[in-house]
Amino acid sequence: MTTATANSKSPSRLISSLMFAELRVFMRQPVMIALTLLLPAGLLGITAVAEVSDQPDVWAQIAGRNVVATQCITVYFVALNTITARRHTLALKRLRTTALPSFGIVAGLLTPPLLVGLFQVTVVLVGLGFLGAPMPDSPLLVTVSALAGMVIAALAGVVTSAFTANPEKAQWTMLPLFVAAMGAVSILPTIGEGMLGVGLRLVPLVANAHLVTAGWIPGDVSGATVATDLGIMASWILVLGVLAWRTFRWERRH
Amino acid sequence: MPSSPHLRSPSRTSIVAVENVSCSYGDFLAVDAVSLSVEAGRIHALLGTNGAGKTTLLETIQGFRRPLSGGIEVFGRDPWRHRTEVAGRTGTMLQESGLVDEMTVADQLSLWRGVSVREDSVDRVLKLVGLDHRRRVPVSVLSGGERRRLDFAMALWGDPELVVLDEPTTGLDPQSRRTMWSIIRDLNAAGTTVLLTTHYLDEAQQLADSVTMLDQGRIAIEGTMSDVLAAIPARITFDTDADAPALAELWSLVAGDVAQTPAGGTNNDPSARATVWSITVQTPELQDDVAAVMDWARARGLRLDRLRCAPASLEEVFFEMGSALTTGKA
Repeated sequence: MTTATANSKSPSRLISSLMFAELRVFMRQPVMIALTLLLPAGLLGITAVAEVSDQPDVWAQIAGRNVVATQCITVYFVALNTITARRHTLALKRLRTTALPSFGIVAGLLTPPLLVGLFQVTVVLVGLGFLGAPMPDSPLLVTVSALAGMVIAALAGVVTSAFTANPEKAQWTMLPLFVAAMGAVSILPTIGEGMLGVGLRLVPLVANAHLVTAGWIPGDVSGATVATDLGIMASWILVLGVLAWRTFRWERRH
Repeated sequence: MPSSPHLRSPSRTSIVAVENVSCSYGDFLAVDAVSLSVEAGRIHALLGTNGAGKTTLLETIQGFRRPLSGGIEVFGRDPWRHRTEVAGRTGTMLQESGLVDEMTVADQLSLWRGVSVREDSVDRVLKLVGLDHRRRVPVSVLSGGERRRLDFAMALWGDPELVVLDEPTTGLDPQSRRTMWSIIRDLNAAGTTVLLTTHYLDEAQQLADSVTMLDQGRIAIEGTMSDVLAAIPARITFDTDADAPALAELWSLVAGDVAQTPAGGTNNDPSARATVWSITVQTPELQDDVAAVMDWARARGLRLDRLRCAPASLEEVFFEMGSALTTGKA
């Protein structure tokens, strides 16, 4: 009756198929293309016009702030929006009728924001170099911090989606984290390393910005600073991972 | 996690075996101690009113929900614990289409090709559901019926061993509905097992070999279609102008109960002696009583207008069951 044949595919092959499909959908949306290209261009443009400096500390702070801006706007918001939209249209539930593992479905949906976020962070950091920023003193710390920030932002998007009924409401539910993170990153350089500074670093993604900054400035970074920031990041990954697992819903929210 | 008890004597050919399953939403018991079995190569229909528990049971069978108690096996596996394994052999159509609006029809099926463990071709399934001319159209502009057909195409992808359809023809025009019935019959003829829910009782009667009717989470009626239909007597109805003695004789000839009511008019012929009667014979012996009625009419030269004889419909069974439950007889 049909030409259909049975075949066996590994879970990783199924997940990668979903990742590529989601990436294709993402890249076909003009607004997403604009976001992908214009965000780093805008961040670099603002820096070029208003913030070029001969102070390495200033460049380090700009790098930390821009990395977190990218993570908040692209990774966090797109992850939140994608999961919420797919849940709202029941595409999440539909994918669950396949042999895809549950984790693989979420991972597949998070692929576009993570890859685009990685692209943008790279463009922003390389662009800063073209604008006159010195090379980071510790590229490893910058890299680890940027990658951990992407994971935190993606998980935060998944958690926030559990409390977001539809994509329209995502514009509101994203605000608390976005405002808190960007606000804390903006005032952190003026606060210093005191108790208030440590307190601000507890806000999600702020420790990442702090570690990017610390890794950029020439000279030795204190072990305590690195340990504190890495500990905060690891804690957020753990907490958000557990929250994402516990609060995740496949069904549409009403 | 509730244990998955060994199911009591499941049939060797049972694809889906549900044993004493209950499901709840908080304090609300949506499915209450339901057992059913779907045999390989059969079409089984889950029927019931809104909120009867059909979709909850269907989703539990698919491993989307963990039952409160009881055990379920699909292909001999617990679907909650082995969801991906069961899903790999099952094609599913949800009550609402879960499509990605940003994709075209062909993209949606290409995605399905990637995430399904079964192989098939986009062209084949699009032709099967009559959407091949819409392959480049974005899903967002499809009509409701076309979305259902695309969803159906995804359920059929790769000829799964079991197809689960949750109200598959809701929103379809009559022609598309018939086409879908035909495809389901063809699938079933090729050996696919089908489990479906529907609000359309004629659809269940057309397609299903066996049915389970749920009412407030409990099984109200279950069995093969012929057994369920046999629960209500068949009917012979006709209009006749037979006189009282002839009608009295009819009563003695048939095994079933005879009811006579005025048909709402009289013969146009003013010389005619009788009012026209609507006769209903409710009988458990349809064939014998049809023969008796025809012999009776022939012997008296009577014409039987609007003659109709048929077994009870599923709809009659459904409403009979409903009134019985309402009056507490069931």
